[in-house]
Amino acid sequence: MSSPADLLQTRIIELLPKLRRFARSLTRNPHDADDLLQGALERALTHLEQWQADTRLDSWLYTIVKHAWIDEVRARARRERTFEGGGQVDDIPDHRGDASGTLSVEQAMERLPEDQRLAVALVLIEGLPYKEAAQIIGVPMGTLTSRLARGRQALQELLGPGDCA
Amino acid sequence: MNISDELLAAFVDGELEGTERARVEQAIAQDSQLAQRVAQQRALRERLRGAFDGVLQEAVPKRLAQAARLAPAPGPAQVIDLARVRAERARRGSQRSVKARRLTLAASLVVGLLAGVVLQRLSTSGALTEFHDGSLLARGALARALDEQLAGAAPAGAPVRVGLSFKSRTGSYCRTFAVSGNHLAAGLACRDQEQWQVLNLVGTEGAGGAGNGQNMRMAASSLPPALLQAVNERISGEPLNAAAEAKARSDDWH
Repeated sequence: MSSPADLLQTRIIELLPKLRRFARSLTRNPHDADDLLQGALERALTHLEQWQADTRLDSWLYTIVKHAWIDEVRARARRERTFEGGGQVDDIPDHRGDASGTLSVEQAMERLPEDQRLAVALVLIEGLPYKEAAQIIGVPMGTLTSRLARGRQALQELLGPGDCA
Repeated sequence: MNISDELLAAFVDGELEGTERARVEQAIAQDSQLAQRVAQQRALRERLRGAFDGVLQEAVPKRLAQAARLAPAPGPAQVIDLARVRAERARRGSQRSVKARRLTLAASLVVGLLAGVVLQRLSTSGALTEFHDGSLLARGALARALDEQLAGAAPAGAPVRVGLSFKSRTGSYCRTFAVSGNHLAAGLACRDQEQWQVLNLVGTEGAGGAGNGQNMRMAASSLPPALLQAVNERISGEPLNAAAEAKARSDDWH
């Protein structure tokens, strides 16, 4: 006989590969991604009462990873301001391969502004419906779709046409 | 026909249905440029997935599996926390805010989780609830009572007593129940695809003495306010009378 807590735990463990993929699409460094997810899991488990049983568990966990990521981005921005004396607030961009069409997908993702990257990660990589993605990001549907459109356009430009034969 | 980028994206992302979807499909069939744009969007999705799907095949690091491990199942001491959660909910309930509503939901989940554990201990015949796909489902004696028992007609000493039955605004049958034992709980379950989904579960006061009769009467005769509120939010019309309830039972609560 399994207790509800055991079943919930099993479901969270089943979601770990997808959560790792999400974390990795936000921060390319695999170690950073796992650190991010570990922090998010600890946060989730101490706030388990905030998950509503009639909502998707994966969406709730994505939301917590997102919060952890935004905190991380802000902390990085603060660090950069501290060490470089202001100006650079962007998330450590990768300047290799500047010419259009020569970037890897990961590099192109890194170039996107945070809001577009989140929309792309949730809809195009995680495959979530717009409605769920908008709720996770905490914006109206219209905002989500326009961020998604800008993100797509930027990726197409950064990656070049690719082969779509 | 002019198809905007956003409409096309929605099509590629599987967000369109029915006539809208058919309209775009037709336009694509008639316009090779449009078909080219769709192919580009699909190729982008595949490139993104291709770049990140590898992680799905990797072994999950031990530290993450450990971080996902829950605290040990709550013991009776944590049931006391339910009173604190309810007090907090009542205190914030007056703010009538979204936050308060969320807290109510959160509180009912906490109660659900903990009471679920409590419910498992009540019955020698096994668990009364089980988590399945994010839903708390009635099992064992609770499921049988919800299936079979007519309101107010619980046999003497029955561990579960069904209170009232009603039809929800979404057309499914719902029933309130009280569970007695060392700890008391009352809840609301609604029929969902051949199962009883437990939507609310609240602890009731006075769990001190081992199964004392006074508490059982309390639980059976009055609905806790949180549960009454849950019923009011869902009920369509009036509760079922005895005849309607018997008919619903013979129709297997469909």
